[in-house]
Amino acid sequence: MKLWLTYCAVFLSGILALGVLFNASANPEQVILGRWQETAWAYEQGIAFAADIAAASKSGSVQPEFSFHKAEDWEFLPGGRLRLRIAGKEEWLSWSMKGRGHVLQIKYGDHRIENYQLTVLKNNKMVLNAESDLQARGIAQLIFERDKSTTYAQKIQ
Amino acid sequence: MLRKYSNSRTLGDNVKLGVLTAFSAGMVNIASLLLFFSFSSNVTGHYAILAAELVKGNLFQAAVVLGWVFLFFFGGFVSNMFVINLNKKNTYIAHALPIVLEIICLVAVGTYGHFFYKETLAETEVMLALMLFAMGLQNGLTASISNFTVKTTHLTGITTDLGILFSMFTKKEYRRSKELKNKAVLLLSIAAAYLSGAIVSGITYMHMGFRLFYVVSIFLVVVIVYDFYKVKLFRFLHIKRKTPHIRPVQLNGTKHFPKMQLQKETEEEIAAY
Repeated sequence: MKLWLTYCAVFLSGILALGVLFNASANPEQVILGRWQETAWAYEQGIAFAADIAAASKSGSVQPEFSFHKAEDWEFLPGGRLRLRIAGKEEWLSWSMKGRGHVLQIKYGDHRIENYQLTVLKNNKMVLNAESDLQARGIAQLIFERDKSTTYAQKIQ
Repeated sequence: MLRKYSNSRTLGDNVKLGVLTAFSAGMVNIASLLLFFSFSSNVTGHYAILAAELVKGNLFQAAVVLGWVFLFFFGGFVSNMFVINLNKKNTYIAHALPIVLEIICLVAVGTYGHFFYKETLAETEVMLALMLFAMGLQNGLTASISNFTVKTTHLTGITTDLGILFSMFTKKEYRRSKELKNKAVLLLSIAAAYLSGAIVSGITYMHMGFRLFYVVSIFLVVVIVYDFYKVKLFRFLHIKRKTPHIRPVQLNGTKHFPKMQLQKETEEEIAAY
């Protein structure tokens, strides 16, 4: 009986600790909501593939493998909707998070899917790593800063 | 596969159990990687990720990973609880229950994913948690009933053991050892089955999506039904041999019943029951 109580106590403490940890932390699905401005692209130097992407982005041609957005700002809305503003025009996509909240998946209307690794997600900064395959992570980064102006997501919170 | 316990298991029992469960684990692991971007049949990487998330101060992600690791542990715990508490009453039931629970978890993931999944993070995490629990159940069961010989949800230990075995095979004395050769056969079978499951999963995922988990469940049902059939067959034969509907033999004018003699294999099986 005493042994069972000990086991139950240990398991319950573990579950309680997990609950506390969840409560004390911010859900990335909530943190990402709002308007983000794309401030920079960063490439790791010395990698031929990354250099190709950089060259393609400078020349304005279609980039190999990825189709990074050149939106001025991205607005993540509840319900998995994403509003992009590109040269004054709006584009609507859908977004979702995968894994432990470390992968951002963006879906286009034509069923095309892009996956980005959420390397940094803080209140004012977000860094997305383009993910072509498991070995090529981290070669190209999109860096965002939070747009302080009022957004739809903030309004409804 | 499931009827025998620990040292009464043969190489064939272990290979059959190892191959079928490793194939299932390979399928589940790749399915979870492709659908949810996270592994579900091993936790070594999760420990590393847990440390990394703690260092980065990402408490939410750390809590998620800690929960997954706990569920894998809990799967092994529950599995072995069935084995050690029910083994004396009914070995088959004790060994089949964790597989039944595993099937329930995988069918739940498949059904929810196929019909209700809205792609929220909470759903993803719960489904991954179910898969990790299922893999913990499977790994706990196979390790427990095979005296820690068969572990089918990850290949780190198996690859290490194979490295050691193949280095031992450079010596003639070890090459002659039947025990070591059997172990190599078992480990290679498990590794090949896991890899095959992963490849099949990768190929079929595009067409099947979440329905892939039904296919995995079918493999596990085969594990249960195969032994259920064997149990039924054994009982049928055992009862048939015990019932005295054997014709008496006339010897020196008197009737004699021929002496019943169970085959050696059957005697061994009685011990296993």
